[in-house]
Amino acid sequence: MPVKCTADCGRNAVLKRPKTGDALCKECFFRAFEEEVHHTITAAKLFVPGDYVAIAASGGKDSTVLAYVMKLLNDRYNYGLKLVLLSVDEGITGYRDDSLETVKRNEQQYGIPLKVVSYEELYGWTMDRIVEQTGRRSNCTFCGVFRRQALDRGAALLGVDKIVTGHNADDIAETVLMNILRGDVARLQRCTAIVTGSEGVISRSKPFKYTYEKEIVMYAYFKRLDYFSTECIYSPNAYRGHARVFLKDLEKVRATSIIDVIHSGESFSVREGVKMPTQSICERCGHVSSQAVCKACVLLEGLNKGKPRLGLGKSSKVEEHLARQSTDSSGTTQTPTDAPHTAQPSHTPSRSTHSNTLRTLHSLDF
Amino acid sequence: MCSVDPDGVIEMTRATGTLDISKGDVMCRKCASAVAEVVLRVRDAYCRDCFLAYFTHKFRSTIGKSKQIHPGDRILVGLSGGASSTALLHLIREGLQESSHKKLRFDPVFLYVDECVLCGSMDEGCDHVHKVVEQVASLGFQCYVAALEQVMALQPVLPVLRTQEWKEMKHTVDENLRKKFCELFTSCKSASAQQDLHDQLLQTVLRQCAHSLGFRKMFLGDNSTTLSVRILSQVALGRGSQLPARVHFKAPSQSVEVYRPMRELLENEILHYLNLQDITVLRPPTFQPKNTSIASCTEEFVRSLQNDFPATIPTIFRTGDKLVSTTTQAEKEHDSSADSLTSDDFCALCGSTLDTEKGEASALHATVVSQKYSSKRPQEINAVPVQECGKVKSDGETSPDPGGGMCGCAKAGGDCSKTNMNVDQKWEMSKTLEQCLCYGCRVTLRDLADTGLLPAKVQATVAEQKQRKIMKEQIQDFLL
Repeated sequence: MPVKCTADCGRNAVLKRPKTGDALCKECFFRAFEEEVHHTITAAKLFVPGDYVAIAASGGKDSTVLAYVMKLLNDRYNYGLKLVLLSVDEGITGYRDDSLETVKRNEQQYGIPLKVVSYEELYGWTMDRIVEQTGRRSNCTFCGVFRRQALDRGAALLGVDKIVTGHNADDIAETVLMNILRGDVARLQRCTAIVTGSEGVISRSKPFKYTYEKEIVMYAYFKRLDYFSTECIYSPNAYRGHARVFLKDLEKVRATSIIDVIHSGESFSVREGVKMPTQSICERCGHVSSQAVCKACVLLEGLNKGKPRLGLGKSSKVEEHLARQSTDSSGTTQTPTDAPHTAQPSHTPSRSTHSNTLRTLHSLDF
Repeated sequence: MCSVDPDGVIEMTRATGTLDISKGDVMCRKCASAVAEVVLRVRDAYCRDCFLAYFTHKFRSTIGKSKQIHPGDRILVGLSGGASSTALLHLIREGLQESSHKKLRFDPVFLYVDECVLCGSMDEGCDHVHKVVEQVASLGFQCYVAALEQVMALQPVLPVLRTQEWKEMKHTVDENLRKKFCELFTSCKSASAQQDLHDQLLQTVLRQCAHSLGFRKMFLGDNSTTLSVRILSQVALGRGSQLPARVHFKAPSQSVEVYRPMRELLENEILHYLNLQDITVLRPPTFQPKNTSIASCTEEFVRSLQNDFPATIPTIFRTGDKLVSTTTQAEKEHDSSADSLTSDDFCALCGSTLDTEKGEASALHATVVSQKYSSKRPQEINAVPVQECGKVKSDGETSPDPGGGMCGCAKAGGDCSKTNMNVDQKWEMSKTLEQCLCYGCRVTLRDLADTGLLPAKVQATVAEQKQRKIMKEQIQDFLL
């Protein structure tokens, strides 16, 4: 005998909600899913009418569902938002070019304009070429550091007020656990905030903070949403860190574990007197950074100078390098002969291109 | 989007091969004059004397640097009979026997909580009690004995000092409590709930005993390894706000201060100590759930990670040290008035400060909303919109009635008023109960088939808190 929907609509249930264990029909599940996101948005006051909001879109399930639901709720509840899709093209052949096709289809399907910023134009390097230089070992560091800035810079180019990302409850719970495991109290404090962003940076928020990953997949499945689900060719298994495996195990034992971990994360804060990194501005590009020179600038410097491992190892090496460089350049003006001696493609723009673009961006008045 | 965290990619140091000292040709790295007998931190070898000096120093400095234990303090020491607390027993005795300037100057009395209600027969239990008491007595200390099932009693039961008395009392008074306790445990639907309930009730018994015996300070034998596991498992259980109370050196509870002098010692160091000193560990049976629970899953994870990455436990441990609960911190900030904490603000089951005043944008509220939208239980639908509608209106949202639009939920509400009163009352009761509990206890009690089986003391506290809430509502308008 078919199970009836527990929301008592009279229809037969087709799914068991991972979050609550209730049996629901398709319509009641859609409604519950959308209303919960709406509740998160209104309770946390994520937007004000008239906001210009960029949806970070990768073509994956989270951001595809986010784009769909944002559009739907904006229409249903008259948020008064102007939406735009913002994608970052890391330059990974066979992965990002395909997923960008998905985002382009989304642009048509949902009628939300799309803006793509690429590593190529921002940094002068594609991930394909970075991997050629660094090998497979640390490529994710480059990609992650560059992406973080790329989104900000794309958003600044568009002149948006806010960015929303598709981070879901599983991602946040995993981050809580990971930050405990590696002792990063500063991030542990920050990672449960639904809105992040300090002064001078466009704020980011996570409307899916309390939404289970499984329910996002379910929603996309039953709505037949078009998304791209191939793993990145450069880090096929990077997704499964220790924390993620642990969280999945916990979820198997008790389905509410994910929300329980987030509740825990919301319930503690760092004791007074613990040294926390101070956030300042990168002296090269003006982006927010906890060091004098931000990680992106250091990594880029390494790439451009043919020392791709710079910035991956000890921070003392970086300081040494930067100190030496400043003494060098104070004596002689930089000439093309200063260019790195290793095999490096000739069309690589110099560091200053990156820095200059960034300066221009930051001097724009939004 | 790729969710590889660029900062997470920086790998922890993997364990390298352990130093092999079995041939007896490795010298102590400290004194370099004696053959090493112990390897710590994978590659550091110590001789017997240097290790014992290091071990004892770590224990004593934990107490010393806290400046919390004063000469003449009467301290109740919780003893489980496991490795950690047995080592604590011996460390305390050594400390009291030291020459004048190094002598520990507090006055310890021991307490053993018998758990045979959950594992093994009553006779086995008595046997273990006898052995533990004998071990403590042989070192010249007194030992109180209590039973886990005492937690079911309405009035705290006073622990007894001698083994003989214990046996007699057990046969007369405890049968009823024992039965109640077993009923409570069998009504737990999950291993996680059983283990968490056991943990909370054991803490309660320890606190009650200390309180009724008139002790203000209590030592527990938690070591660095167990504490690291606890940090993660508390987080996984939604008990993040109680983490400081459960892992810091000093944890003020309502009436008793709990101290953890073994907290900087790792489990393997303790085992080396017991081994070198030739101390037998009794290991009376303690409760172990049959299936995987949140806590056992966490323990397995931490231990396997520690094998591969030896920095795991120290890192988790230090992280735990840096955290405080947001509720207590908020109080500290704007609390100059005295009556900030009344008994209404404590969880009726575990006694922790309530962590459930989180507002609309919180994990707690998100679960309430989820339940509301995916079930027809009328009580929830009625209970939530009271706050819900107000909020929605004040936000200036154009949302139509959030409950009513939902696939006939309103209709369901109407239907259900006619249903069985008994169900409604039961629901009402568990709703009241839930409001008096912290987040973690709510999660656990969701897996409890019948909340009416909870200890009488808990029920009484709930009733009292409910009464006080009603009183407070009546005088609300006149409160300044």
